[in-house]
Formats: sequence, structure tokens, C-alpha cells
Amino acid sequence: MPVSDLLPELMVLIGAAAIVVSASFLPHRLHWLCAVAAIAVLLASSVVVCLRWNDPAQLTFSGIWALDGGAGFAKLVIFGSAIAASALSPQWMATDRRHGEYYGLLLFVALGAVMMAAAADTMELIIGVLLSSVTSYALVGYHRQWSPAQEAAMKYFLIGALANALLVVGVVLLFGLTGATGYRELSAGLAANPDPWVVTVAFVFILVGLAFKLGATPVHMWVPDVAQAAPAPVAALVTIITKVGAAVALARFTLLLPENIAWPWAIALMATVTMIWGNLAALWQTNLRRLLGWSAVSQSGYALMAIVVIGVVDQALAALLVFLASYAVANLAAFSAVVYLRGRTDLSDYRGLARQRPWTAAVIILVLLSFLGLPPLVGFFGKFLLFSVVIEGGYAWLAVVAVINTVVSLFYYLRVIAVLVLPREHQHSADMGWAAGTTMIVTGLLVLALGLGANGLIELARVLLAPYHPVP
Amino acid sequence: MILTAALAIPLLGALALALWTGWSQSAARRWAVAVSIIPLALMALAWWRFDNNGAMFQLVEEVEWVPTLGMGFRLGVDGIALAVAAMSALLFTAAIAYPVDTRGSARQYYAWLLFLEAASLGVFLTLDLLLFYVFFDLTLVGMYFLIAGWGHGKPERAALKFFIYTLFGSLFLLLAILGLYLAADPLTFDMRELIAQQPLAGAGVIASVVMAAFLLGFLIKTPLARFHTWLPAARCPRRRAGASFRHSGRRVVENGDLWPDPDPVQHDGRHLHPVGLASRYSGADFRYLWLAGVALLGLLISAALFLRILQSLFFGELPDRWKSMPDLNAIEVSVLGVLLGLVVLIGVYPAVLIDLVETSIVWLVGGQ
Repeated sequence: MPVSDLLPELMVLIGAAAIVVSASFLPHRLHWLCAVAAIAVLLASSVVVCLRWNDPAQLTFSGIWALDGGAGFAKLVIFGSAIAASALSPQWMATDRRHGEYYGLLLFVALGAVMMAAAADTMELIIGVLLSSVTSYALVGYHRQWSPAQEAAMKYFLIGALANALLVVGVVLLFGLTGATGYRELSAGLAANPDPWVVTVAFVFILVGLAFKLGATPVHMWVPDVAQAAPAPVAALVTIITKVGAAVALARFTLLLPENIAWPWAIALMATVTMIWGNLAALWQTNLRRLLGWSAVSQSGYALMAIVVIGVVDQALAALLVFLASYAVANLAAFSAVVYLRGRTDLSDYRGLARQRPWTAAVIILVLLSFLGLPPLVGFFGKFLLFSVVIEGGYAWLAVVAVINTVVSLFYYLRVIAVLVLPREHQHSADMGWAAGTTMIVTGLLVLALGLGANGLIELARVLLAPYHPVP
Repeated sequence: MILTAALAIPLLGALALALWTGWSQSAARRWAVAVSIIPLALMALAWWRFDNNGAMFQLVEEVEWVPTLGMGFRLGVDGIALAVAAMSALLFTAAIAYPVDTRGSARQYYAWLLFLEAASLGVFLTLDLLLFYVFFDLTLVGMYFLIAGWGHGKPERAALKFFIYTLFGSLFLLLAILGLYLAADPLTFDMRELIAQQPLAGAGVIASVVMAAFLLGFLIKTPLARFHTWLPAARCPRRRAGASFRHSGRRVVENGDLWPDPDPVQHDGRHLHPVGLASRYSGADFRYLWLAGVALLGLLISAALFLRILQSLFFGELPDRWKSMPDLNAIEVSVLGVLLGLVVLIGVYPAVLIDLVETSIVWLVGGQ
């Protein structure tokens, strides 16, 4: 059991524990040091992931933990997002009495997402989902005196309890059927053609459990509330990393399934409904953060498109990863702008922002156009690869659905852009200081730079082979 | 380097206007005029260097951009593209030089106009299908902000409608481009390579579907019947001096208007280019005489309509509301004079234009 295989995860775990302990000894005015510590730990873990980039894909820790390109890429995205969220937080949390331990929770939620992405065993998948769920409930409700935050946390918790329970039932059914939890044994057991009805039911339960983390229909209702009422850095982090972790986990899991249960159609249906629902709900939102939340739902629908063809098209995983990375960068930039403007949420508060704060407005506009998929921003290449793989995989109708949804989404993105740019009025606004401002500028530049330098991103995702595929 | 410079200089000019806030209204205008003359001069230089009997695509420049996808920054011109690009450069200079009420935001107005110029020239000069799509979408962004910021009536609504409607077209274009791309081997967006490969030749239904998606994309952009509803909304808010320049600029950007048009400068057959390319790829062929007959009828009707306009311009009483309208000033006269001079010149001596585009048109309709 080579412990060093888990070095990045162990560093995050020990760092989180150390932060929780030291937060109880540090005076409150020095709690920002915990943010520095969290960023340092995450940076160190990312470096370790990069150093091991070229190691061959393998299973480790008695075959429950995958070390492959998909997991590595997901780790980089998750750790990177957590770094940005930590950088956004010190000012935001400065007056909170539990400022220090907040960073411990941030590290735990990142760890849960990483476990999901790397799980090659259903039990480990459950642990990852639960770890990321439990910590994110607490983070979402961190402003516990504020009733919208309580509502969001409660909603998140209730839906999560249901979805996690279904996930556990699905795993138990599969275990009863094949007597295995490891993906290698599961794959062998499922290849022996057990009762297809039980497999179908188990698949649906597990799909719903992971859809909750993805923010996909029918268990997406928590996303807009979390985006609106959670502390803004947490909203950015939770919408990104749970999606990344769950998408990779779902891709890995679907590869085990036998072909006779038509799982691609189930996922294609979920993708379609998610896209449409998210977009329609966003159309008339008057609250920017809620709008970003609904937009996150529809983006989950796009991400699911790649999973539909994951077994058929070689580049499907690369397309999924590039899309997730592009979404992560853009979403971080969007929420950084919100944090920088001290969390204002109502769309009418943004009127004429381009005159008062042209750079902030420029970042928001770039982000929205990137969500839309306009070239040469990074979102374009994400969507382009998705369209490309679904057409190649024979699901051209899914690409048409996505195109129509993209056109619909333009309506609400343009509503925001018009509010930012067109009113000729000045309004004065306070901001959140240099840390949030720098994060906003860096992530905003990344939206543009990763688009212009898309080759590097695509190459990084393409050299990854298909996720470690268990040989029965 | 000529073509890259023609794109880069307006873009840098726009950036300079956008990044430095200290421009006065008149300085911004002078800067924009000066910047926009450079691509015009470069286009003239390209015209001079262009060999009418040479290769199909000339002045080619190529830099890898996303080699993993087979996408590159590839520029080059055939006769048609050169003619239209030169004409857009001229129109943009005219539109920028023409005095316009910028409502106190001259800096932003000219920045967007220069940005739009770079994107529109890119549409014509690119030899890479995906890069074409990139520039195509960038023109939408530029036009959205111009219409929304400086339109009349309900500019926000018009701009919104314009953007949504044309994005719909351009996304189908993207799907069509993808269909073509996925059929190619090796995967590439290089137009020259695609023309040589003819990846969908004889591919039956798939070729027709791709062709249909190309057509749908271009039909929405060229305001044809059934697909034109965005046009009036976008045009009406701009009913003022100068707007017509932008309109014709935009029209050309969208690969020409298939309706008969009295202005030979605009009517140069560019609209054949993308549709023609698509038809070449899919092996379709349309030589229908009756279509020409119908078009002739349309020509007749629009001649009658223009005669009516002339009639009301020159005869009858001047309505009171126009009596206080000032006459054109010197700048307006000179801008209009140059354009009208070209109308007459190309009418009298069409060889300057026809020689340039002829070889490419022969290529295009398959007479190689």
C-alpha cells in the first residue's frame, strides 16, 4: 500500500487539520494567515500532481484509487479553484468570528471533490460524495445569522440527503448483484450479464446521486440558492469543484456499464432537460448571482453531453475536461467580480457599471461571452470540443439541442451586458480590496489567455488516455 | 505581412482608444480616421501585388494556432476576397470620416468601429474555416455594441434581436463547419486543403445536411425572405446620416445582399463565395435559368421603386419640415464624392474589378 501515491491528498488533509487546530490558537486579527497556509498547501499539492504527470495510469491502495490523467487534470482544476476561492476570502470573512477554520473546511471540500474524481471503488465514491457534501453544507450556511443563507443550506442539505441516500442504495444493489465494490471486480461481475433490471435501477440511483453533485436535473434545485446566498467565494468553489468531481466520477462509472441498458440515452435525456431547464429559469432572473447559478445548471447539461459518448469517441474525456476547465476559469472570474463589488447581487445595482468600473465590467462581459461560447475565449473551445465529440459519436441531435439552448442563453447574458454598459449614469461603489481585485483580473485574463493559448489546454487533456480502464 | 497588418492595425488602434481614457472627442475621431486609412492603403498595396493570373490564393500567411485541432492563423486572398476586403476598408474609412453624433462617447464609438473593421476584414481575409467563424462572431459583438450604444428608437431591443437572430445562424454555421471538418482526413480547417480533399464529395445525405446547415447559417446572415426579420429592427434605429455606411458595411460583411442593388461597388458577387464553396464541397450544382428570370422581375420592381424615390426627390414642393435642414458640409461632400466617383468609375471602366475577380469566379463555378 504505497502511501506516497496519495501524497497530494494527504498534504491537503494534514494541512486542513493543522489549519483547524492553529485557528483556535491564533488571535482573530491574524486569521488571514490561515488563508496563506491553505494557498501554500494547495500550491504544493498541485506541484506534486504536476511532477507525477507522466507516470503511467494505475490503480493504487488495493485498487480503490485511480491515478490517471483524468484524476490528475481534475485535481489541478479543483486545487486551482480552491486557491482562487481562498484568495477571495480573507476580506470577505474578516469580521466572522470563525474566520480561521473556514479555510480548513475549504480544504476538506476540495478533498472530497478530488476523492470523487479519483474513486475506482463505489465505497470510496460514497465517502468522497459525503465528505464534499457535509463540508459544503456547513460552508454554504456559514453566514448563519442571514436567513437566505440558512434557506440555501437547508435546501442543499435536504436535497443532498435524498440524493446521497439514493446513491448508497444504488451501490448496495450493485454490491448485492456482483459481490464487489471495486471497479475492476464490478466490471467483471457486470460483464457476466446479471439481472438487467437490477442493474438499471442501481444505475438510475447512482446517476441521481451524482447528478446532485453535478447540479443536473432533477436534483439541481440547490444550485441557484447556493449561488445567491452562500458566501460568494464558497458559491464559486462549490459550483465548480463538485461539478468537476462528479463529472469525472460519472464518466468513470459509466464505462463499467454493460451496453444492454442504454445508459447513453438516459444521460442524453438528462443533458437535454438540464440544459433547457437551466436556461429557461435564467431567462428573467433579476439577480445576478442567481442567474449565474441557473447558468451553472445549464452548463452541467452541456458537460453531460461528453459523458453520453464517453465509450464511443476517444476524445470525449478530453472534451469533458477542457469544458470543465473553461467553465471553472470563467465561473471563478464571475464570482471574483461579484466578491470584488462586495457581493452585490441585484441586477439593478449593476446599472452603468462600465462607466464607474470599466475593468470589472470588462471581466464580467468577457465571462458571459465565454459562457456563451464566443471565440476566441476559452469557453468557445470547450463547447467546440463538446459539439465535435457528440457529432462524431452519432448524437448530432444533441448538438442541435445545445445550439438552440446556446441561442436562448444569449438572451439573459445580453440582458446583463446591456445593464452594465448602456445606462448613462454614474454610481459610486465600494470594493473589496486588492486581493479580490487581483484574483478577478488574473482569472479574467485567464479566460482570454487560455482561449488564445487553447492549444496547450487541449494538448494537456488529449495526451491523457481514456481513464484507467479495469481489465475484467 | 500585409494582410496581418491590415487586421492588426485597426485592432491596436481600437485598443489604444479603449485603454487610455484621456482622448478628447476630436482627438479620438482624428485618430480613428488616421488608423483606418492604413488598412485601406494596405489593401491598395495588396491589390497592386496581386497577380490576376497567379495562384488561386495569394499573399498567404500562415501561423499555427491550435495545431491539435488543425486550426491555424491562415490569411490569404483570392480575387473576390481582395475586392471585397478592399471595399470594406474603404467603407470603414468613409463611415469613420463621416461626421456622426457620437452622443459624447466618441472614444467608445470609434473604438468599436475600429474593432469591427478588424473583425470584418478578418472574415474576408482568412483561409481557415474556424478562424472565419471566429471573426464572424467577433463582428456580431462589434455590431451589437454599436447598435445598442448609438442606435435610434429602441436600440437595446434591436441590438438584442439582431444578436440572437444572427447567433442562431452562426451556430448552425459552426455545426456545418464541424460536419465538414470531421469528414476531412487529416483533420484540418485549412480551406485550401478542404477544397483539395473535397471531403464530402459523394457522401450523399450527410453532404446535403451539411450543405443545408451552411445555407441556413448564411441565409440568416444575408437577410433573405423568411429569415430576414432581424433586419428592419436593426436598420430602423440607425436611420440617420452615416448609418447607411455602416449598413452597407454590414451587408457586405454578411457576404452581400442577394437582392438587386444599384450600387456596383457592393454588387460584386461576394455572396457567391461561401455558398459557392459549400456547393463545391457537397457537389451540388444549381444552374437554373428560371431563377434568373425571377431575379430579372425583381430587378424591374426595384427599378420602379427607385424611380419613385427619384421622382419625389426632384419634383414637387419641399415639405416645411425639411426647410431648416442644413446642406452637406465639406467632409460629408468629400466622403460621398469619393464613393460616388467609384460608382461611376467602376460603371464606366468595370475591367478594374472584373479582371480581378474573374479568375476566382471561374475557379468557383468549377471551370478549372
